[in-house]
Amino acid sequence: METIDNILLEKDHDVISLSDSNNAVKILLIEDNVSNVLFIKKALEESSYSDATLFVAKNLNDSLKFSEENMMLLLLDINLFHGDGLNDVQCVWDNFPYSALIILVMGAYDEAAFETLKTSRHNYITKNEIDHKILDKTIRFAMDRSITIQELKSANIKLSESEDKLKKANRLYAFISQVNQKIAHIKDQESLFQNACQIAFEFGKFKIAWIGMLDRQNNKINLIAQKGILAGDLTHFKDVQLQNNGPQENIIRSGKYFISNNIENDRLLNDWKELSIKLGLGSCIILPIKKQNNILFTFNLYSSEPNFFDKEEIALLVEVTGDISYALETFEKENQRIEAKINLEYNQSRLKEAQKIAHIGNWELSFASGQAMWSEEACRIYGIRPEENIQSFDTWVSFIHPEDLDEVMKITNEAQKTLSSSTLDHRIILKNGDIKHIHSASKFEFDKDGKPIGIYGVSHDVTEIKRKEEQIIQNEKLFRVLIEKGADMTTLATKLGKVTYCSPSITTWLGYNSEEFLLKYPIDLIHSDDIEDYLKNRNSLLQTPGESFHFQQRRLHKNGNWVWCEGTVTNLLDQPGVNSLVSNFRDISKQKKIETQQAFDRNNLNALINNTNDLLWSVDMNFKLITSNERFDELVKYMSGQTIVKGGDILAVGFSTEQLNRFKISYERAFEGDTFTEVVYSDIPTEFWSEISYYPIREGDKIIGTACQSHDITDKRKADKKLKQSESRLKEAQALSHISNWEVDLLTGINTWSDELYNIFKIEREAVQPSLELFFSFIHPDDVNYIKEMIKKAFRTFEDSFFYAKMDTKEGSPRYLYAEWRFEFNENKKPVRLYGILQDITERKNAEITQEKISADIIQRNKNLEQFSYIVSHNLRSPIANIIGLSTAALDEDLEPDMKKEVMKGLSNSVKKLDNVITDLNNILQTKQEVNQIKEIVHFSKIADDIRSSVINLIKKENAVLHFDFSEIDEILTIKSFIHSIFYNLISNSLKYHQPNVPPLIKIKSIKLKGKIELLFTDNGMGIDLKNKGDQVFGLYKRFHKESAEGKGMGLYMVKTQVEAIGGKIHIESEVNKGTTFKIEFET
Amino acid sequence: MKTLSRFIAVDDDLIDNMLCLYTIKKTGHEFDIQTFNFPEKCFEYIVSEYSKNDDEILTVLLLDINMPTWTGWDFLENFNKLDNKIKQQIKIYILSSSIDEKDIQRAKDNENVIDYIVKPITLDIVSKIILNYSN
Repeated sequence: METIDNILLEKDHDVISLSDSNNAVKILLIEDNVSNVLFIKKALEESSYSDATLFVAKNLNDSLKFSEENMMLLLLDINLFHGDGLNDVQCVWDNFPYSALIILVMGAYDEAAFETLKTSRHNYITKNEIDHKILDKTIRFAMDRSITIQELKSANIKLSESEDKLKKANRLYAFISQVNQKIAHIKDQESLFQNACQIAFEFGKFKIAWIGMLDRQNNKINLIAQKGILAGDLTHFKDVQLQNNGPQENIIRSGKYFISNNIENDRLLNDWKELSIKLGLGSCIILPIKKQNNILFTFNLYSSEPNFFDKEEIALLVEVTGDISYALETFEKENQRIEAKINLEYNQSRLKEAQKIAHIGNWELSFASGQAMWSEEACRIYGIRPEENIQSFDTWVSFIHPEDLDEVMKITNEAQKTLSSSTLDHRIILKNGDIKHIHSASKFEFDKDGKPIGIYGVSHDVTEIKRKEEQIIQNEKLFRVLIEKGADMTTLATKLGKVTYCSPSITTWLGYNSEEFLLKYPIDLIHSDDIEDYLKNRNSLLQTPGESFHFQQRRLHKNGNWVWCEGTVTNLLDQPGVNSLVSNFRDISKQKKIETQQAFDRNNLNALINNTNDLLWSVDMNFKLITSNERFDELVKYMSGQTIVKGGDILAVGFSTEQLNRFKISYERAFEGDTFTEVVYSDIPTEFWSEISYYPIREGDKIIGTACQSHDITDKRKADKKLKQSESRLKEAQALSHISNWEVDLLTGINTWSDELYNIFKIEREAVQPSLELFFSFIHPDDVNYIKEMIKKAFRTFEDSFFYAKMDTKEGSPRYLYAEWRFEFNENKKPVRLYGILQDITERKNAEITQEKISADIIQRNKNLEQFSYIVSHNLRSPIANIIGLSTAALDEDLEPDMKKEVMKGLSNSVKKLDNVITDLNNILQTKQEVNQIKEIVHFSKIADDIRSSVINLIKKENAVLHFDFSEIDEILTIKSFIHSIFYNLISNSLKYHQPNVPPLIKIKSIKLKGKIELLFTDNGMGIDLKNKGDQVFGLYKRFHKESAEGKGMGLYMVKTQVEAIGGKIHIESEVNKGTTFKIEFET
Repeated sequence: MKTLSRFIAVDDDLIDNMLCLYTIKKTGHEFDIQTFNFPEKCFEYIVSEYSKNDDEILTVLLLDINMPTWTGWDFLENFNKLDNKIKQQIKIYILSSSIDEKDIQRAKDNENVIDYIVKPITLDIVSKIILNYSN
């Protein structure tokens, strides 16, 4: 119980299953009182419905959730808390129409119970009475009642259906009978359709009926008749596009009708859905209507009810549409019949008219009667009255022109023989004497056995035609002559461009013969650049008969060239006898060429005139500008700020009055006929030089003006000036520097020398022809060969080079030259030019020599000074120091006698030594001065002999041997005293420093070499350790031999000084204890 | 420090050597005095005398520059190659007549040269040298 309580409390509704069976009877209790629910539940459990399933709802709304549950019984508390009493009962009744209903009331006094009872429609039960028996009974009763009600309901429905069917049948019958009635009376399609719609609406009770006509071209159905569509909705039915596979399209394609019994949910009618709902349409049928076996119409019927169309309905409607189709067929046939009749009448009258217009008459001759019946026009042609239309063969023959009679008879006889159709042309003479040309044709008529029964034919009055023909022929002849003899080309072409005629001049100008040309189309002949315009013009011409257009185009000559043609095309397509597009044109190549040339010349001239930096203008005799180029205009604008127009005053521009006057004079000079050029300077805008040329313009013998050309030569002027300046500066520079330049063109061998080169050689430019030979003639013979070698080498290697040379100066003082050269090569690396400089460097050379001398002198003096200083500090100081020391000792009174003697002796030696040093010093200084002594021829043998004599004692003492050999050369130009000193010092050294116990052997030999003399002094003495002392050998006061203390270190110093003073060199070779050799060289 | 006990004079000029001998004697001290005319000889003497002798002899050597064969410089060059033991015993003074600044500078630059004395040698100079080596 608790569980149920909870359920009821917590939920609005629930299912309380009294049994487990799924098939149990379903009972719905609508009750908001829990204790009542429990109570009823208990009663049910005890009743015979104990296995039922009890659903409980706490209010009416919740109960509706079970409306689909197929409740057998509903128990409704009429006094629900939120309930509405009897309205609740009606609501439940409506929602559960197939369920039995028991109302739960409070008691018999319950007002609601009364009301329920009043209607006697429902069972009730008072709550306080409920027990299982009453419940059982009441339920059963309620169920019975429910069943009865259901049965009654069903019977009612069936009755109503039968009624409906009857009604429908009536309706359908009315519909079809009405339609058929109308069909019987109506003779036209439009009325039929309109009536069909009307009847469908009125008798068929359709809400809408309309007929659509198929418009195949636009794939549409057009509404042509309707009933029931409000004006506002009409647009939806008009111009309905056929949907592919849509209902209309399907009908037209298949011939089958289309039904939708539920438009709202019909997928195929989606597009109509919205409208259908709006219009309240439930079902529809669309049926095909045929006309002559083609489905051309659809019959559309709409009902407001869904499921409207059943079998009978459909069958009837198919029949109706069949009837309509049949009616249409009938209409058509009738129409055709009427039309045929009208046509016949029409044709007959037209024939008459036609015959009249065409002057064609017809006739029939019956062989049976021999009578001929002539038509009105035939009578008119033959000049007889229409009433006289019965003629005969003979009467006809009487009209024939006598000249044509034989021929006519011949043909008619022939025709009669063969019974074949015939034509003949002949003349007739009318009664009034007029002659007419007749063309007649005849045919035999046969009966069914093939026997000829008559003859019929036409007579055509061709008099006018004949006359016109003749005129045309005449005209055409004239025309042809004109065309064919004319220079212009004429063609005739069809609308499509096919050429039908061309004049013979085509051959002259375009090269084609007629046959070839007739095969051509415009596209074959006209230049691709011109064709588009041509075709455009031609197309618009086709729209405007009689009009022309002008063309100028290139046409293809047979030889492949393009020929410029000019002409017109005229649309004479409508012109009888011409019926063509007529082209007249001529070859304008020559004019075109001239024009092109002229245009080119003009442009070319303009280009030339305007593409120059020169100013070009022309002036007439009134000083007015005739023409000018752009450059001129620009300059005028620049100078004056104004533009000068053609015809403007040329003397009113730009310049100062003074300048303008000068120009005026120049113009006047030109007007006199003078052609001239003058240079004009202007400082506008800046330094501005121009060369103005004047060319008089003549017209016949008369001068009408002058053409002027101004050429800007400012840059040239400046450049010339600069060139001249730099040339003169170069000359000046060359003269100052004594540098000349020269070049040899290696291709022509031409030598070019600058002015300075002539100056260097002191020759006149005009007197000589520059050449290598001329150059060598100025070179000192000593240097010629060496320079020639240099040049030879240069031409082998093509390398830059230089040389120094002495000039061959006949008058004495030597001059020196320096030359330097380079090669210039062309793009093939081939030398093309040798160029260089030649400089007179005598002054520099002399300066250098002087400088060298001074430098050498200064160096020597410096050396001397050093030597002097050395001598003073060493050699002079040495004896002095001794003297000081000794003299101090000498003053010592305690000095022992022996010692005193030694001191005095030392003092004496020191003083002597001092004296020697001073003497040597003097000698050395003397040597320097003697250099300036005059040179003389000195004989080595004489000097050697003199010295031998002077030291003969020493030679004897040492047993020395002296050997001299001056056989090769014995004399030299030099300073004698120096040679003497040299010989003396070297000989005495050899004597002094001999090896102990070895007699000195001294050899002196002179050798003559190229450009020099060599003297060799050899001894077998002690030698000098050159390894250690070599650098000091020739030093002053250098001594190398301890055994020979008397050496002062002066000799070799003196020798070297003196050798060098007279331009020689000395060299020593020595080996200790072997001997020494001095080698002295003198330049000669 | 050892007491100065020997003087050596090297000069090719006999007069100079005589003057040295005289001046040193004049100081009144008793020194062993050796004189050489040739530096090579002096060098031989030093090598033999000072390397064999275990006793160290403090010696003042008066050396002339300008001499034939070996100059004073040659001597100094050879002397420098000797053992320090020998070199320590010998105090070299250049005794030259040259007043050339170049000579003086060169002497002073030599590490084995104590001083440069310009000739003639005097009693004063010798006394001062002796004083230098007195205790």
